[in-house]
Formats: sequence, structure tokens, C-alpha cells
Amino acid sequence: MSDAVNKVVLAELKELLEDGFPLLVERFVDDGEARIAKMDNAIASNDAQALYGEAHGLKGSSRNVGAAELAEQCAMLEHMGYQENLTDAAETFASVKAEFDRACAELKSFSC
Amino acid sequence: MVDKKRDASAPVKILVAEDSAVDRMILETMLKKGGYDVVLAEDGNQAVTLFQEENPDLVFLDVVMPNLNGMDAARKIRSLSGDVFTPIVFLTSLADTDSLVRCLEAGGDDFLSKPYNAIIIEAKIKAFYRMREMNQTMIRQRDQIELNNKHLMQEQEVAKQVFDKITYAGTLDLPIIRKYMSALAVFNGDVLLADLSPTGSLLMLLGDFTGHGLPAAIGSMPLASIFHGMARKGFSIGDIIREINGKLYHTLPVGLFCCATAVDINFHKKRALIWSGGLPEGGIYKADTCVFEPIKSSNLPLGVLSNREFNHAPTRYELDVGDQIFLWSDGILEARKPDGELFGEDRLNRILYSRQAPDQVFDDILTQVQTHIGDSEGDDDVSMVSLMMPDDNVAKEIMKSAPKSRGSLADWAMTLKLNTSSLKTFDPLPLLLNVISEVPHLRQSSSVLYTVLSELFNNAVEHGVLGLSSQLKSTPQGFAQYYQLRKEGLENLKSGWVTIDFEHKLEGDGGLLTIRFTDSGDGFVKENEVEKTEEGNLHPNYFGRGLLLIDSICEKLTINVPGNQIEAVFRWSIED
Repeated sequence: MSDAVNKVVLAELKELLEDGFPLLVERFVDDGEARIAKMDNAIASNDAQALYGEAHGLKGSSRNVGAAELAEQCAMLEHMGYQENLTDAAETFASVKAEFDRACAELKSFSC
Repeated sequence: MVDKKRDASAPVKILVAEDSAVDRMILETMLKKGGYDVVLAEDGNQAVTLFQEENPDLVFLDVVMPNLNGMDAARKIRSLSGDVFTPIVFLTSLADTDSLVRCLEAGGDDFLSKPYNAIIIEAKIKAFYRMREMNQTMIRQRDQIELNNKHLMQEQEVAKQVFDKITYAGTLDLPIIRKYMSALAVFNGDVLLADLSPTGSLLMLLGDFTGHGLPAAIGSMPLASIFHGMARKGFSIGDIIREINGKLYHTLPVGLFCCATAVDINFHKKRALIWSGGLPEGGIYKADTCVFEPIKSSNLPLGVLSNREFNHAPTRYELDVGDQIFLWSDGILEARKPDGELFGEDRLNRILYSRQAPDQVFDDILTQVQTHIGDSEGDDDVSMVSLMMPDDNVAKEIMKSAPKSRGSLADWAMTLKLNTSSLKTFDPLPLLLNVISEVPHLRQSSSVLYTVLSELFNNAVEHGVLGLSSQLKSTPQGFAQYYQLRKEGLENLKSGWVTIDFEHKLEGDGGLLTIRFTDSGDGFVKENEVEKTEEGNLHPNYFGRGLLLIDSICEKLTINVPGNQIEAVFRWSIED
């Protein structure tokens, strides 16, 4: 299995942020967890608009930290929200959660 | 939105509105490393508030944000910035064209997609900041132009008010005057003045200064002021023209002068004196024959020649009741059709020589000129006036409002006594000439009178007070000695005086000025040497050359015995 997070992108971010890098990772984790909780709620209550917004947000952040696979999966959820068709949302959401955990783990290990 | 002035060296300020903490942090760090001043907002509402408080140079807006989304925030920011161009760049990873179009419609200028790239960000910021600076320069210049224009209008308004006060238009409302001038004619350099003289004349002047705007208007002020001031005191049109010429010659810069025609129309004598310099040929429209007789303009405009070279003598024209004098500035010939074609001399002459009824000429010219101009705005530089010789009843009515001649010196006398200390230092001639020039018509003789006064004064001081002999002046050495003695004599003078008496009275069309010099000297006339003429004058041969000259100028010259008093009588009359 390939890396969840692109190490070249991470190296660049670390160079850019210097001492701020661990904080960035922390924020990615906190922000991501909050969004994932909101997505969970949105799917449960069939709120396409909310799902669209949260998936879009996480997609952007994921791209910025080099988590390309996570971003792709978020984009699928975002699209479902945009289409207001949440039939397959729960399934995709499960893989988003798994990919998010994998990305967080890689980020945390990289920030040490 | 006020464009708060920022120090040029201050960093470019960028507002970033982004709800994702991670993205916010990355962008903030990139911008700060690039040397920019960063203001952070976490949603659209905060972005709008911070925009107002911080007045950033550039705004980065995330599209999907809680509370107020990016598009609505962009709309609010646009409406707040007014004239000032503040670039808005949307931060987005939106892919659908629809959303991108809506971003542009909301006022966005560009997009920045994630992941962020520092080089692309830098390029965008630089490009937009340059645009903003250009925009601000343009706005500053536009505001400056607006301000300048407003100032100009205010200045013209003030200048117009001053000018209107100087030229009390009341005299132009007489029934014998018809005129057409644009409301702001003074800023086309055109000026029309009329005033009544205590001599029973109506004086009128149509002038056209070179140039446009305030510079053209400036010369009108002294011109109008001199014209009215002198006209109401009864000075002749020639004197007035000469005074104006001198004033303009000395005050206006080279290249600024005034083409003018001045008219003195006397209702009683049924004549006009017309001085014309530089304006297009006007003329007299005869009432009985319906023939137009042009007035030649033979002089240079006012303010071109010094008074020494200037010819102020007007030409005399006989007028009958109903005859009209027509004057116009070149604006009438140069009146343009919208396509640029001039009205021209031919069209004007066709009207003037068509022998139509005298009372229709003015209207006909005006109508044809205005029809010619059509709707082309701002080209109305037309000034035209006609002045009609009234019948006696109308003339009487008009002259009721003429000033009485008590405003000027008429019958008067004065005595000036110069005592020892004044004789040493004071030259009384300028003062005396000043008094004389207050008498209308006597002014034109001031150079002749200067000769008389200076000769008599020197005579009184040198031969009278100092007792010098004119014999000394017969040789060159003696001449120098004479002036040495005069200088020493005055320096060492212990006591002595000269009295100058003036008496003036009006007589017919002129007047009589008696000048008497009396001095403290012993006199130089011996009883047995006196030869009396039939009128009681002393024989001129007896005197030095100076007194002979005075005798030729004056009507009468009398010297008493022992010769410490000389009296000269000077007669003047109105020239026409």
C-alpha cells in the first residue's frame, strides 16, 4: 500500500512552517476529526448540504498536506452532497474515516 | 470607502478568510514569509468586519465557509470598496464551472486552488497589487481633476461677481442699446461697457481680450474700472482709451492685449467719436438710406504700444436720429456650424448690404448666426452690440441719469506755498500736474502745461529766490557755474519761498487756467526797462528764451515790477 501522505509535500511544509509544523499536524487532526463527526451526522440525518460543505473543507486541507488519496475520497463525498444523492455515502464515508486515520498516523510520525 | 493613505514603505496588507485551520495556517505562513502583512478571518462575517477595519490591499476568500460564505462576503466587500479597486481572489478547490462563474459574478477577480503553491501566490499578489496601485493613481488623478475643476469654477464665479460689480450693467439697459453677449462672455475675453458722461455723451466700449478663461478675464477688471471711473468724471473717450492702453501695456504680459472699439456718442451734437483698434470692422447703419458704412479699424489693439507711440485720437462721424452703430467681436465671424464651417464675412455682409429696415438688422444678424451655429454647444463666443442715435425726447430721458459734472474739477482755485525747507527738497511739478489732470480735457494738455510750470518754477527759484543772473548761461563754462551756484544756493538757503496760485473756470466748450508764481526774491525787472504792450503785457524780448516759449503757449503772460510775480493764462477747449 502506498503512502497516505506525499512525503515530498510534507518535507516542503516542514521547511515552510519550521517550528509550526507539529501545530499544523495537530490542527489537521483536530479539524479533521470535527469534520468527520459532522459528516457522520450529516449522513445519518440525510443532510446533503452539510455533507457537501464538510467534505469540501476536508478535501482542501488534505490536498494542502499532500494527502491525495484522502482528498480524492472526500471529493466523492462532496460530489454526492452536491448531487444530493447520499445512497452510497455511508460506504465512502467509512473509507474516508480509515484513510483519515492512516494519514494522521503518518503525519504524526513525520512531525516527531 | 475612504482610501486611507498608507506609508509607501509599509508592507502590502492581505486579508485571508478561510475556515479550515490547516489551510489558513499554511497560507498565513507563506504570505508572512513573503513579507506581507496578514489579517486572518475564520468566516465570511469576520472577513467583512476586518475588511472595514483593516483596509487591506488584497483579499483571499474561501468559497465554502460557515455563517457568511465567500461569495456573499465578496459582494459585501465590493459594495464597501466603492471606487477603490481591491482585488478578491477565491481560495477554492471547486471544480465545477458553475461555481467558478458564480464566484466571478460575486466580484471575484481570480482563483487560487489547493494545494497552495508559494510561487503562484507571489505572482498573483504582485500582479494584483500593481493593478490596485494603478487604479489608485487613476482615482487620485481623477479626484484631483474634479477638485481643480471645482476650484476653477469657484474662481470664475468669484471673478464674475467682481466683474459684474465693476461693470454696473444698468447703463447697458438703455433703450438705444441692443446687445448680445454670452453669460460668461468675460471668460471668452469679451467685455462690453457703457456709461453716461456729464458732458452729455454716452460712452461705450466693446473689447475682446486675447485668450480664454481667467487670463482673458483679468484684463477686463482694470479696463472696466478705468472706463467707468473716467467716463463718469467727464473725461473724453480719447483720454480714457489712452489711460486704458497705458494700464494694459504696463500690467499685461506680452501677447495678452485687447482688441477694442470705443464710442463716444453725443446726443446733442449728433455725432460719434469712434476709436477702433483690432476688432473686426463694425459700421454705421444709416436710418434714412439703409446703407451700411463701415468703420475702419486703423489702430493697434489696446496694450500693445506704449502711450508714447499710441494714437488715441478718435475719428468723428456725423449721425442722424435713428442711425445705428454696430460693433461685434470676431466671435461672430468665427461662429461655427457643427461641421466646422464658419459664419464668415460674406454671410454678414449679405445681411448688412441688403438694405433692409434698420430695426430688423440686429435681429436678422443674430438669428442667422444662431441658426448657423445650430446645436453645437460651447461654441457661443458671439458678442454684438448696436447703439442708436436717439431723438431729443429719448435723449433727454436718458441724460436724466447722467452724472453731474460736480464729480470733477470745474471752477476752482488753489494756492501752494513752498517755504525754505520744501524748496530745498521738494519738486512740486508732479503734484501740480496731478491736480491739473483731474480736470477733464485739461489732461490732454498736460505735457504742454508741464513745460509752462517747470519754466515758471525754475524762473522763480533761480532768478527770484536765489537771484542768479541768466547772463551766466551764455557760455559753456558759465552754464556749469550757473548750476553749481544753483545747487549751493539752495543748500545754503536761509530764507525764501515760492507761492503758486491756480485759478480755473469753465468757459463755453473749454476753460481758462490762470497760473501765478510769486517768489521772495527782489525781482529782475527795472522800472525804466519795461516795455508795455497794448494789452499791458511786458514785451517778450526782454525775457530769456524760456519765458518766450511760455508766451507762445499761453493766451496771456504778465510780469509785475520788480519781476517777482509772473502770471500765465492758459485757454483750452474741447477738441470736437
